[in-house]
Amino acid sequence: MGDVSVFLSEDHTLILMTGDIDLAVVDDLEYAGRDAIDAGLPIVADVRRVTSMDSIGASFLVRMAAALADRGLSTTLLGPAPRVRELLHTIGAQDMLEWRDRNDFTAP
Amino acid sequence: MFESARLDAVLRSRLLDTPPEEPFDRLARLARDLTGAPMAFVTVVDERRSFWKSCIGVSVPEGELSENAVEESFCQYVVTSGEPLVLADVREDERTRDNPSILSMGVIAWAGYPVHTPDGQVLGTFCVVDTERRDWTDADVRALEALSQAVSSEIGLRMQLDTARRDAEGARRQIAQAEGHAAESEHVALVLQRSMLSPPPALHDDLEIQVRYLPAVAHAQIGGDWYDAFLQPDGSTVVVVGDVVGHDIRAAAAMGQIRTLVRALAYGRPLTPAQVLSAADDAMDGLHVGSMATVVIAHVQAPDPLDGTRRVQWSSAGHLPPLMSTADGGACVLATTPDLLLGVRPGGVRHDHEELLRPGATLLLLTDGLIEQRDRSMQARLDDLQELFAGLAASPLATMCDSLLESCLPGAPQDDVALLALRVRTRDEDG
Repeated sequence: MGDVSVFLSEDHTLILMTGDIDLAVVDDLEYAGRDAIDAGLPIVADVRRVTSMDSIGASFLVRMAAALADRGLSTTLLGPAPRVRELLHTIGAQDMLEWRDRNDFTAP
Repeated sequence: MFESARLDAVLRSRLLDTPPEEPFDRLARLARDLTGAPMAFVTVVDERRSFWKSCIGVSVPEGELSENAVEESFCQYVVTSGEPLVLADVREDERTRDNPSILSMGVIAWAGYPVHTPDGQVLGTFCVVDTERRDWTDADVRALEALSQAVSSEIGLRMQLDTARRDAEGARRQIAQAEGHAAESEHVALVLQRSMLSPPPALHDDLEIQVRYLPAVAHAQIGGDWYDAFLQPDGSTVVVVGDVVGHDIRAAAAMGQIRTLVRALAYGRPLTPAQVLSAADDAMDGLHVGSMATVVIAHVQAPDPLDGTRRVQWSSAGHLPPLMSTADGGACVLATTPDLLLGVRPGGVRHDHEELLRPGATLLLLTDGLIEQRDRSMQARLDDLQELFAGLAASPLATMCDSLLESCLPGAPQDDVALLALRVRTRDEDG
């Protein structure tokens, strides 16, 4: 089971994704995306604890990044998350998202 | 007697006017044997009669009903009060001394307990009767009480079983109806989809094509994957494989639109594969298709007259790269960095790549459903596929496709699978 949670802070919005990000959490992804976009701040998506992701999850990240880029805001992925990285590469989205690797799990 | 809730319960018990049944007869016989009274009854009382579900020790003449009028029964007292009635001599009690049954049936001693439904409605009685005075003992009364409870339990169980059966029947009917509707919609959707995924057309003599399409088990026959193949007026061949993001019927609908956009934009126009994909991206944006899709498209040029090789130009929008095998049993993934999938941001840079297909070579386009495996990296899965593909390089094309499916998907596919294999026949095949 996967989970998508949104945490709003002063200078960015954190989207925490854990577990299996697939069809089962597609509604949660939609809500998270909308909340994050409405907040109008740069987004950090922590994907370090994602165990699996399919095209739905990956395309969500890409769409969100595109929507934010249209508003002049950045989307950063918090890694390491090799599978997510590979999946985003497969769909040609490697240039749309920045990566930042961080190995401790305190707030970014 | 006339209380409607009680009468309703009597009807629901479905005991009135039914033949004797062993479970009730057995209990009545037991009461007779334990008390020594000659007659025992299980009765169900409605507003006009006391129907004898069991009557032990009484022979009902042919053509007569096993019941008596409620005014003539002793059950009426039990049913009205809800209490047991135990009388050594019914002539001595002011309630019962004028009852016609004393004369008509010779009833002198009567002892009975109420029989009721699980929700407490009194249906009738469980009683023992004698034709002479009988001083019922405590043991008699206790036995009667216990046996009457057994009768009530038996009735309760039957009524529950009845309700359960009716509910099950109702549920079965609803399911059948829902299944009917679902089957119909599925059928319609399937027909629509299959009309799009038609068998590939005949190509040039030296080109052989095989396609496979497997919808995912969970998606009930509808998917977002597709293949396409068609001849261009200039003699080149276009092959496409695509995968719409999402698994619902909207994805399937979008698939139709995107597939049609791609072929319409490609047909008869001098666009490279990358240019076709860019145009499709723009159209999807301008026409608000609203879905995203990964697509790989390849243009296979006319053969070189000298050696039969065909130049292939291809482009990928976020899709798995094609694989190529050669007649000598080699295979490779045409690995390049894919461009962005369609439907996110039009106007991005797209790249054309080139390859040469020699006679005997096979070009394989696939969707990721073929190699879907949760715990392995994409690279590892592609390496495995490459090895498998190499081993099948010399097999007949249909066999190759079937073997790929069998090896990659021993069980039912979790995601849609579309596969397109294009082979340049060897010179001797082509003759």
